[in-house]
Amino acid sequence: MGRPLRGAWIFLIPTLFFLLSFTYFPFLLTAWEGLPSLRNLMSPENLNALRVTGLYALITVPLSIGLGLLAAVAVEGDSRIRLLVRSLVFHPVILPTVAFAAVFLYLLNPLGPLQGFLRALGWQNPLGDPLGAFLSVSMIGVLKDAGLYMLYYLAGLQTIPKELVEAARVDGAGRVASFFRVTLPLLSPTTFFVGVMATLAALRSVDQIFVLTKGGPVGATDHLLYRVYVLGFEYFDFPQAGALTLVLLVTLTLLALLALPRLERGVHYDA
Amino acid sequence: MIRKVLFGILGVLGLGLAQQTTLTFYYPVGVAGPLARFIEGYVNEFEKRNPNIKVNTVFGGNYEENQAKVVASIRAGNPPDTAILLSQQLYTLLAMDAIESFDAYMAKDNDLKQAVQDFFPAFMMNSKLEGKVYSLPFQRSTPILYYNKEAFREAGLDPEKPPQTWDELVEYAKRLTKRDSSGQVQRYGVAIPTEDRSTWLLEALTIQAGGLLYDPAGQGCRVLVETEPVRKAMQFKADLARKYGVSPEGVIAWGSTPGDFAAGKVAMIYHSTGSLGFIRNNARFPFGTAFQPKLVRYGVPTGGANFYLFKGSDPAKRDATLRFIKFMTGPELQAQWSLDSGYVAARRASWNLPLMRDYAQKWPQALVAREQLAYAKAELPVYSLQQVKDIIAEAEQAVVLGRKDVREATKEAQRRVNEALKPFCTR
Amino acid sequence: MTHSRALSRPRAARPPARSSWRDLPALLLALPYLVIAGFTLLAAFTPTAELNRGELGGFTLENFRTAWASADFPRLYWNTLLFTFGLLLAQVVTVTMAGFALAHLKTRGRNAWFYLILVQLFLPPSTLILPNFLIIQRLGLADTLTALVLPYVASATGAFLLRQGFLQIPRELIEAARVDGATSGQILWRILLPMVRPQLAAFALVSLVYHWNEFLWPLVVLQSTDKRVLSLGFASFARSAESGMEWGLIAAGAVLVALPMVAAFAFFQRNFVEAFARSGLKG
Repeated sequence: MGRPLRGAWIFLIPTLFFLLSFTYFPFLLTAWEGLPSLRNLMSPENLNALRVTGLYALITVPLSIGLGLLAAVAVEGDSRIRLLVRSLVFHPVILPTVAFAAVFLYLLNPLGPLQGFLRALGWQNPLGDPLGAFLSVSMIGVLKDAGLYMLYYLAGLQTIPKELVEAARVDGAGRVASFFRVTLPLLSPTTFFVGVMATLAALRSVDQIFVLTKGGPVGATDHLLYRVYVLGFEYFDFPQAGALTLVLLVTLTLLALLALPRLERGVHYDA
Repeated sequence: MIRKVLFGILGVLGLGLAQQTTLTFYYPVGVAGPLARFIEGYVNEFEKRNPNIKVNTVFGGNYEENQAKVVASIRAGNPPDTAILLSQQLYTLLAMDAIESFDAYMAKDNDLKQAVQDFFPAFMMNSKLEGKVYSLPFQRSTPILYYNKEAFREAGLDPEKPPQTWDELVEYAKRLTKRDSSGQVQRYGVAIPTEDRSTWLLEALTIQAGGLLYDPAGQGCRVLVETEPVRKAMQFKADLARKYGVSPEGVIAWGSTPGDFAAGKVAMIYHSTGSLGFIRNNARFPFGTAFQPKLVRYGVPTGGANFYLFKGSDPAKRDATLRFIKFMTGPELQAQWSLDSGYVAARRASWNLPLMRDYAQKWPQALVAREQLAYAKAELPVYSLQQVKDIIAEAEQAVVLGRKDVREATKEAQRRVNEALKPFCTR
Repeated sequence: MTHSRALSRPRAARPPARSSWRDLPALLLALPYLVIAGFTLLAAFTPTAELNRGELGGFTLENFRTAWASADFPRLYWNTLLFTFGLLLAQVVTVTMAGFALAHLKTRGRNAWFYLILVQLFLPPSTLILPNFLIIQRLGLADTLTALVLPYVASATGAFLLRQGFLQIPRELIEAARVDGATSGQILWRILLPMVRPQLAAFALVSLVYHWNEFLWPLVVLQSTDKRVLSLGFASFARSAESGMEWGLIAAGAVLVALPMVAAFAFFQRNFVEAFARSGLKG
């Protein structure tokens, strides 16, 4: 355990330098440049982007967490199949999102191999339909990240004393009931942490939109960050792009303020 | 002595190296087919013929992405020597003070002057402003109607008589739409794609309905969305799927439409003549091409992209750049390009070459786009082009999807377009 | 993170348990992933003309040949290597120093330092593309690999991961060295660094994976083709292949892009799983 060391903060200088230059200073720059154009923020397109981002988070956060948890429970243990499935569910985490998403161009195209399946759902052209496009983009986000959350849940499951679960079973609780009554509550620190990660991912992971939908149709996948890109780097409307960036940053800061005290404990009281 | 010779050789080599000029050239691909590979092939050919010029080609993506990249490099103070950009980007590029006209070079270079006079006038409509020539046509096209002759026969239609009016189009499409016993559509009658970020086909329909998407006297500042022809155009597209059930529901992707046609899933499509090469190579049935049907008149916008010259790039490279542009827009290459892709050879001289004659004889489908030029209009030329197109395309999608009434959609789009143009058009 | 080993393949001493019907839920879950991976591989080896007719069955290597020829893959790999390892080198320095500092800060004011760094977890560089681009441009660094690296040099994840490593080192070791007259720098370099190797390795792996796949920031910063990184080169390539509906080409390209990481994963599976589980900053 480290004892306080005089002057230890000096070692923080390189990190602080880069943090100030490329995180805090740009934040202030955005606030400075973006504030005056905040009144343009209420344009229908910007409001739409806010709505899309919110919905995207609302869908991907619970689904990716749920899938991660489900996967963790399903693959816990040592059978060959489970180990294989574990790798399979995890592997998209290490793939470039653009490559993962590009495959969906093929899978979802109106002549693609999923046509029978899509036809049965009445969705022959999912990317040409606002809801279909939004769900496709969301699904990619969920499938991509669930593997990582599965890992955290597996780690979480390891920390739960087997006796507690068994005790519940002895008391007559079924498999499902004991999961909800014992396991899940004990996993709540993991869930909190994973929830924060997933929320962050929902606000910043938009690569698949570039490949699949370009924000359309009718703005159905016009995520805030994608719109920042289009406004800033295609229309060169820096003030508006700045105002939207500011909205994103303020949201993230609020999230930090809410989550950090609890997260930090996890960091703090370990080892 | 030996040393002297060696140094001599080195000197010559060094000189050779010093004279090597490297050009930067951005290009987009906007239609179906492996066009990027063709263009890289032409560039290689040019380099072979001009060993002291090296061309650094940058494939910039589709038209919109390529434009964004070129503009970014201009803003970073590092413009390319030349780039192929949409002919309609003229105002946007002028507003940035990014491009140079060809006139000074035309005065010095007779070949260039002759070349400019040899392009089809319709393809030069978007290139000229106040008597000056700002861009030279390269990948030029018009949208045409492709139709499946086999399907026509099957439906009891005469495969040599494509539809000539919107009403006929609907009539034919109804007969061409094929359902299985459970009511599932096996083959749609017609598909008019709604590209995410383009207004091209909407412009075609608007012209056919007697209108135009802009005011030609408006100096890049007047876009006409809230008009009866535009409303008719949007409503027609919506009706094909929603009222008549002869077209796939939802936004039909521009990119995959030629594939759907080639696979026999749609009997008629509206697409760029530039996709002819792809369809030729992939369709396993006889197909025809035709003028797009009229409501009150025939008509389409020209489309595609041109070579531009950029201010701020190294003047010492101008000769090499112009030589490259002349090569790429020359009659032989334009003929080859037309064969490979289906784009219309932009030079009149191309069409007299044996290569082109043989081709036209074998594939008369290629002639339609050229003949349609007689009815062509310039494509929407406007400031803030991409933003304007995005707004109109979104309105169109909303109508096609049944999300908005056409009146409401065009009214709102008009307001937003005016807003977007304001910074450039305060006059 | 003592449990992380249990996450992956068990040691040889414990042979894998027999599979049974209880594995069914796991298999069901794997289905979507199998479908995606399976069709990608299938498409990559099927002639494009067949895919365009909605058929499967033929076999070809043509897609890979064309994909390899239509993007400058060697250069893309090289640029990506340069970017990811160059960045890692810088990060190793900053996070080690920061981790050491965070482990040994005086209690007073410690939380302020902690928060100053932790907040970065919530302000990922991809959300700062606009202001960071303006800064990069002002610095004259647009279109350089250096610019690509800068926003990521400081890493809160790394700093706290390393802090954990430093905290686990018995204090006697440091005391003894100090008695021997070693300076703080020497202590860090000679004694502590070798002991935080597992944390550094975990951090390195995660950093490499994330930046190998980076898309948005390179899209904003880089213009020249000869500087493009893998994901960027692939996106542009996929775009041209999409317009030609060359699905086989897209699939082959995706395989080529994913291959290095998938191969690394196949070889070092346990390290990957462990590294990612650790990077979660949990006890």
